[in-house]
Amino acid sequence: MTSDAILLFTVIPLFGSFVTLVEKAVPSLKVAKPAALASFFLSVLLLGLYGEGIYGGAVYSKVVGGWPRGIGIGQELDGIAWVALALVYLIYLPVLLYSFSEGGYDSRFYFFLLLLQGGMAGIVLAYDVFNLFVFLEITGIAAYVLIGYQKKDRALFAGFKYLMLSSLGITLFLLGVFLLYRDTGSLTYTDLRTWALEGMAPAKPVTALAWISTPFALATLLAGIGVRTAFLPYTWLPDAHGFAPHPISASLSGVVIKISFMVVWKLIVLLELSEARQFLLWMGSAIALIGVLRALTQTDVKVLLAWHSVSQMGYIFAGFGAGTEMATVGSLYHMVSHAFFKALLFLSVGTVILFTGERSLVKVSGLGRSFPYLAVLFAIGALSIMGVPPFVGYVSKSLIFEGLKNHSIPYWLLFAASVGTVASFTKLSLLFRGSPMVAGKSTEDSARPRGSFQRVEPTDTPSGLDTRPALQTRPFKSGYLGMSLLAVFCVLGGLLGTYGIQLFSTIALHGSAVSMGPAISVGTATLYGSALPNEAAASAFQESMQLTHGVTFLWLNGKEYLKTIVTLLLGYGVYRFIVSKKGKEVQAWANRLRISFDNQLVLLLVGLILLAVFLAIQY
Amino acid sequence: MRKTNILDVVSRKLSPFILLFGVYLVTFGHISPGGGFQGGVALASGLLLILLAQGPGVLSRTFSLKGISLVEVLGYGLFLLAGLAGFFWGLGFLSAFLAPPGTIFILNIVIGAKVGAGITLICWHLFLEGEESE
Amino acid sequence: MIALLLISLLFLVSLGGMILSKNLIRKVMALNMLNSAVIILFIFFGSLKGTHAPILVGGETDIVDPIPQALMLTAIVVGICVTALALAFIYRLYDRYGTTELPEIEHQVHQNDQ
Repeated sequence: MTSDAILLFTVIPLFGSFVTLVEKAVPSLKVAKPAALASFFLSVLLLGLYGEGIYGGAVYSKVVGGWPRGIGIGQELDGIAWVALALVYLIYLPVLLYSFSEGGYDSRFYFFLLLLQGGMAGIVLAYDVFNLFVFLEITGIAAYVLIGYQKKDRALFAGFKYLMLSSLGITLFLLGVFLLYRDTGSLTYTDLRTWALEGMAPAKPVTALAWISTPFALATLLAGIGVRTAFLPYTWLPDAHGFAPHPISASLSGVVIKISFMVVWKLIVLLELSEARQFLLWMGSAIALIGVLRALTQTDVKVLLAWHSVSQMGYIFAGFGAGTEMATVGSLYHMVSHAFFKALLFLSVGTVILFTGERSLVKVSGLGRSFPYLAVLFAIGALSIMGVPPFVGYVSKSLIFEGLKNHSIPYWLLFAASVGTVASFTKLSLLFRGSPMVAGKSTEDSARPRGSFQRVEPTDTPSGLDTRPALQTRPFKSGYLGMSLLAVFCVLGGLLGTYGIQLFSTIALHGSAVSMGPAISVGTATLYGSALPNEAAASAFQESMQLTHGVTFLWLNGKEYLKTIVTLLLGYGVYRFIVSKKGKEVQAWANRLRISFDNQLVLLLVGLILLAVFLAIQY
Repeated sequence: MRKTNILDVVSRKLSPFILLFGVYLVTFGHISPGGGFQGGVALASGLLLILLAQGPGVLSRTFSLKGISLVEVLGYGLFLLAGLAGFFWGLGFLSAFLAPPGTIFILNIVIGAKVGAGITLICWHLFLEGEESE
Repeated sequence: MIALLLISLLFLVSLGGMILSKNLIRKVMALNMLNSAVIILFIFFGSLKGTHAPILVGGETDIVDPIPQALMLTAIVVGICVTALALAFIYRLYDRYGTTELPEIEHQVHQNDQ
């Protein structure tokens, strides 16, 4: 397999977006949806062609236009990039299918969706900071537009806030790039790594400012992208993901924030910033708990799910920050598993909103009787996020907890967050159980055959579900297909957990002992940095991740099951408290706490300074 | 305050020169400061001068909204085609398939047209939105 | 040195403007100025070494560093796109809420929450 074709990962979506523009110019040619689908199939085909080589440890690199490496824009496909691309495509298909059946999306929607996919592919494949910046901005612009696509009031405001915060972040990122460029004279990852391994000597002439400029530059780099990945501040995420169109919420929560985190990951590992990892560990655990606490007080179902996205990203940060091999693989696995179950949850809850026209927990309940299959899909997603075996959430959460064994405070913070997650989803499942009701009117008497549904337009006077018998099942076929795909992924990801761990650790370790040297492409070394400094450590880790050990750890481990049961019981207890009278008062009080937009900007700067101080300590 | 004749006359006389300057920036972009994007913005400002001074009706007598949208879409397509041509001809995507400055020249013109059309469209649409709500 | 001081001043003023001003349009203008500050920073420091524009057709040597210029061209384009998008957002928000002042919009948005 040649290296030339890796550029096609970005070109195929871009070409697809051109085809959708053709439909915009000539509205009679309905080519947008087929183009979006075709883009998916071609990209997956290409990914498959590279699969064998990647598993064997190859790394493909190509500079656009045939220019030499330092001058031209470079792209590189390594193991981690391959996994990230696979994740992007695996979430893209269900989202696309859902958008087909939801309807109401014209060719411009598919244009921006394809642009989003192309941008993410570019971020993952980028080999120098310049390319990274371009694709980060492409992804960002596509995301801003898509959030505000249906022009709902709150979505517009949320999109605007996200835009401002993100742009401020990217400007800070550019500032960091400037300082890095002045010190190293180059923007490629290889040269940055060489510079980092040589102790980050600032360029001559060394001025007095040098000793603050380097940690400051690194902090701005990380903080800039940190906005995108809901790190500091995370406050834009609930509104943005909560009010975006349903497939976009799923895509944003599922992949976009993860891909941005991969950039942070790559930068931290490339530049050997272990202090930053500490920072991530502590902030991550704190964010996990804060996210869950805010989620417990919400009644808008999508904002609730979005707060859970914040919380689960906290798990991912903490797992990466802990630095042990187990936690790092757990973090990578959690990125994948969270994408699956969060997308499933967003899509299924979105379906509820479509069918009933209501977004609030107090207005809808007991839909399980009318939509049993939807209830099953939601249940799979909810059980996954609660960490119940044998779903995929169990595997990744167990890995992270096991990896965090030695850090007591973060461990207990994450444990508390797990308890809160269980409580919150027990509360959310009221959508499907309990007495059937939509907006105050009981739907007990509407006899609906199994599997039937009918789209209800949201009206000003909530009229509840129609009591007419079901019409046809066609309207939501592909939406259900998409959600079922995600559910299948959740189940498979859990049952085949041991294979998944094997896969990630193999891809991560291939050639890592060799590629630690700066001159060779930094490909798969990016998973561990210097955590695995030599061949012996690498093979020891490989041993510990062997299939049998994985099976023992995941499935025959009484301690893990005990932990899960304790979490579920405590979670149920918290849930009883929440729905009690005292709990409702606490919720109402907590809901009034809010951070204004200006303060969010300040929060970004505060976080930046904190991070800079953290990094400066290292020097 | 009434609109005077000065705006009409000056904008009508000035706009072709701005457009000419934009074309100069685009076509000489490879040997002097300028290039696709910069020239495109200059082209757009030439058109926007007419739009803002005299309204969209006058502008659409020469350049219709549909025409400019078409230019924008075609520009995108041509750029991708130029990139893919590099693919088929020689090395990878966007590589130089004509002797320099051949490729850059073509790319500059395509980008200039697209950017000019794009920015004009942005302002034109914002203008039309404003008119609708009045 | 003077240049560094002036650029930092521009940066800090626009940052302050972005955080402290209440009008959304002023925030977007401040963001634009912030971008400009970073762009000037790059180009100025990139031009310190060398004397000619980085165009190799005439066989020039002693050119200025071309990489900051290329990066900044991209940054300018992106800045324009983001500004245009932000202004479009503001226009729609003005259409819905009737104001471009941030406190008023926040009040209107949140008065429906419990």
